[in-house]
Amino acid sequence: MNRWLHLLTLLCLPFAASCFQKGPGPEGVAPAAVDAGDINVQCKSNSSACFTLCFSPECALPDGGRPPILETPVIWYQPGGAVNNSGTPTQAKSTTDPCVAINDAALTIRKRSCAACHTPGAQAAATSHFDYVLDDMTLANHPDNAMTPGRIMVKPGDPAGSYVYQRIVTGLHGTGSGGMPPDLSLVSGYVGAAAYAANPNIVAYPTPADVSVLYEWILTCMPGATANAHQSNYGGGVHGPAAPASNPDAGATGSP
Amino acid sequence: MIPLPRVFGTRSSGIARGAVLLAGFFLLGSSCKDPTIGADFNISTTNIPANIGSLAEDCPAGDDWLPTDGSPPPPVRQFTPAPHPDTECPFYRGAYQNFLIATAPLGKNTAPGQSPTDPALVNYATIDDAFSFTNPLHLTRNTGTPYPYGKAGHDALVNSPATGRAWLGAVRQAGQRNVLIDQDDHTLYYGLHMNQAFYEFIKQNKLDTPAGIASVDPYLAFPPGVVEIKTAWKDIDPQDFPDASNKLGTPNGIVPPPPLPDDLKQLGGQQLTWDDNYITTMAWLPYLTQDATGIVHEDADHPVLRKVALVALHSVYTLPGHPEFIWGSIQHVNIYAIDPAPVAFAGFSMLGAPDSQPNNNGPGGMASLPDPNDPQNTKQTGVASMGNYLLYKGGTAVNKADQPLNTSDLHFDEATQSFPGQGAQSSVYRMFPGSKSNDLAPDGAVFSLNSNLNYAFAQAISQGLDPKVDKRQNYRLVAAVWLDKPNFFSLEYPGPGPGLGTDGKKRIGGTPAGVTFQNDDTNPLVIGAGQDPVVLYPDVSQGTTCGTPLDSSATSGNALNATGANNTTPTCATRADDLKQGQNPSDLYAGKQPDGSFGVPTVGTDYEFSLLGGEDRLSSTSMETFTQNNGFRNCFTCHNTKPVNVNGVPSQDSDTPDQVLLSKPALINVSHLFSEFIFQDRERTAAAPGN
Repeated sequence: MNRWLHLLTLLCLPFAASCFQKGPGPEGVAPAAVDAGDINVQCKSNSSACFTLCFSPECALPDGGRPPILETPVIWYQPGGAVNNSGTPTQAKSTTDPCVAINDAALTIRKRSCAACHTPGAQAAATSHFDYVLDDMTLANHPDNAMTPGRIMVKPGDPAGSYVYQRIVTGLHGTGSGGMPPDLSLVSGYVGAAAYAANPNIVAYPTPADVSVLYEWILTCMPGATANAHQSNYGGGVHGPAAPASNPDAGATGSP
Repeated sequence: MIPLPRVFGTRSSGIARGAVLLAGFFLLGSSCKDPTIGADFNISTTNIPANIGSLAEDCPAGDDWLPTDGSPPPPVRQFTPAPHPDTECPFYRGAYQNFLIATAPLGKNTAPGQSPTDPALVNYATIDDAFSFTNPLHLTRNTGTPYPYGKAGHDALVNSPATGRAWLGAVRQAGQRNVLIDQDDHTLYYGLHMNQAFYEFIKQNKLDTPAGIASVDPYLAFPPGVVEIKTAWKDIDPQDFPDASNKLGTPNGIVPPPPLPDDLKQLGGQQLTWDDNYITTMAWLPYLTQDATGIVHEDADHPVLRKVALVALHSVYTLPGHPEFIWGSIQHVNIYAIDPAPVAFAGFSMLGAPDSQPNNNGPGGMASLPDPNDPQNTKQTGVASMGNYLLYKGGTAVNKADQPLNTSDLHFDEATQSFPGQGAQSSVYRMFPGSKSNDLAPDGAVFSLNSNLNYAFAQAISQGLDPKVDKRQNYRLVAAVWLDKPNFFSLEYPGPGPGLGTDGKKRIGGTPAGVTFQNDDTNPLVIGAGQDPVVLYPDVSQGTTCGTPLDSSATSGNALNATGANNTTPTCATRADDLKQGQNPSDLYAGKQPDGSFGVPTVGTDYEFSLLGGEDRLSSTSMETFTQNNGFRNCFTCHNTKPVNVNGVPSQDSDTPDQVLLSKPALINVSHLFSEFIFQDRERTAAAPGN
């Protein structure tokens, strides 16, 4: 396509499909319409008909071609199921809000790794005074407890300033780190011998990938967190010279 | 919304050709790819080749990526994409969206001295902005004062106080510290840039000094939202090219336009110009010199102002659950030429042909991947192209290309900052055209995204985007690589037993040494398959279940306990399925063929035992030019949690202390901003007066 045809293509964009380069469709045979209606929609998105027509979930054009797709795809997640690469799969749900998926994943990680000791009725909850690890609202509004006076358990918007997060990061160091979850040799004593005997994997040890999810949960998604945290720090900021080197349009000899 | 018509081609007549290819893939076995097809898909799997879905993998361009007011796209959404065999699209989208953000033209947001066409990158923090050098005498980066042109001018002030500070540099590439020389006899210049989240991570964790880095918590990981951009630029400044009277160093020098070889002419390509089709900017570059041994040195403190054009970049970023970094690679293309790869492998035509190296992934291109018995293609005497490309001299034999030049055999001309008249150009081709170890074809989702980008840019231009100011439409995604099973991202892999020893965290070898995340015999999934009894890691995706289970309306990916009949990825397999069939993943990754010989592997990142997602042979032809093979597999070969040495690769036991930059394993070692800072700091300290 030469430059003029390219330009022509752009000019034609709002008007007609026939203006554009098209292939002949599968083997040059126009596929039969399978869905009466809009000429540009011959098959329902994600349908077997689209797949039959042109091997694509979005195949829809009269020539069997696939239409361009400009959209922000939905996010699939498994409520209470697999997080990152691990866990028992559950039926999927979709959302357009990343925090819906992050909140669910963060809850799943806490259930795996923290709930055996830090939920109401757990043996260790009484001594730790911390039985609300699955309760986001309480975490967000209950900064410390009798065992951690002055320490902010979870500070919405500030993972590094959250005691619970710090303990989990420390726990990544492994046995003897003093972090959370505790060493495996201590788990039985914390959760109770019977509970441990029933499920030796009652406490799962978070991975750095899990911690990354918890970070996002505290930073942007839990109640009171900074909803636009990434909006404020995502771009490159402004660094370097206050008045950068030179105006490129002025040639290559200038200085600031 | 009424679908808009396609602009740049359709999925056309290649169905039959694709079917033949797909039939071939089908014969390879049960490895299942990553489409998210869904809905009422109910076609008998016996009628459909196993991997056909991968070619139908839609990957949309974002509807908010090119705002009509010229502002950059919003930040990449922070969520954890599903692992294989679900779609890889979110990872590719993130890489390109980060590119769009980093290269959005400044437009009206220019500071004095900046151009509206400058990419946002010029304001991104660099090593000089984020770190504090031991010898802190350098000036603000990307500043300078001109001095008399040429060697005499530089010699007169080389031992004088700094006149400025370069923005780009690092002409000796990471990996083996080799220099790439383009077809105009100049080296490429490289940049390391970080977004604000990366900058704040460094500062908040006090990692901005050598001592701070040395004392880093080895388990400190990058948070979500961190972006690193690595760029490769070509010198296109008239001062470095002769003028009409063959005089050098004048502002009237004639810069040759980018090559338009016959290959691209046949594909419809048009002659491009630097300013119209490349992202360009004025940059202070280090003044290059050559010592008596032939090594090229950079004087970043007496820089020269030059015009440069962006050839390629890596878009590197984190997501929740992916602190290991997702590596995306983007390159310049000729947007008037048909990309031959989708024609050859997916049966549809699409504009945007790579123009820095031969298009050897299309018709008439590379017939096969490197044979493990000849991994460097040293026996391949054919040529990749007769045409000259920016990084390839037409007619160069394959076995002479992708080879580093020994600068001790070359004369560096300081006047032109180049290696003129010696036929010293580097020639580069893609040894792995699809960036995959087991497949010549690029991923269907990459095709889809690039095709949709064509449309997105066309639509934006029709709505007012000025392509003379915004050059981003001239760049396309090559591929990306990440950890498909990111819970293995750590300093060590879990032990071989299902109970992980007695403490749940038992470490191989006792002390964590860092790991490289490769699909070889260090892969814990592969190791587990060889244990007796087998360690399957059943809870790790693709162990006993396959894909994201269907939701209540049956519109998502794949079915729970997939059997190949009740899910949306035909014949989607699990590791348990593979082992039942008698597969030996170690052998398969080593390239063992059905007849017992060894050749090109039949499995790659789509295999159920893969640690990696995306493309396991990803390499930028302009940035890691000489590491396409030679022991280097992909970005994670160097960017992992192992200690790092002066070549920017994992430290070897034979390294002396002064050859080690980062001496301990650490999660942050995946970024080489830290090791590169240490490298520069040491060189700077060594060069300081009195040393």
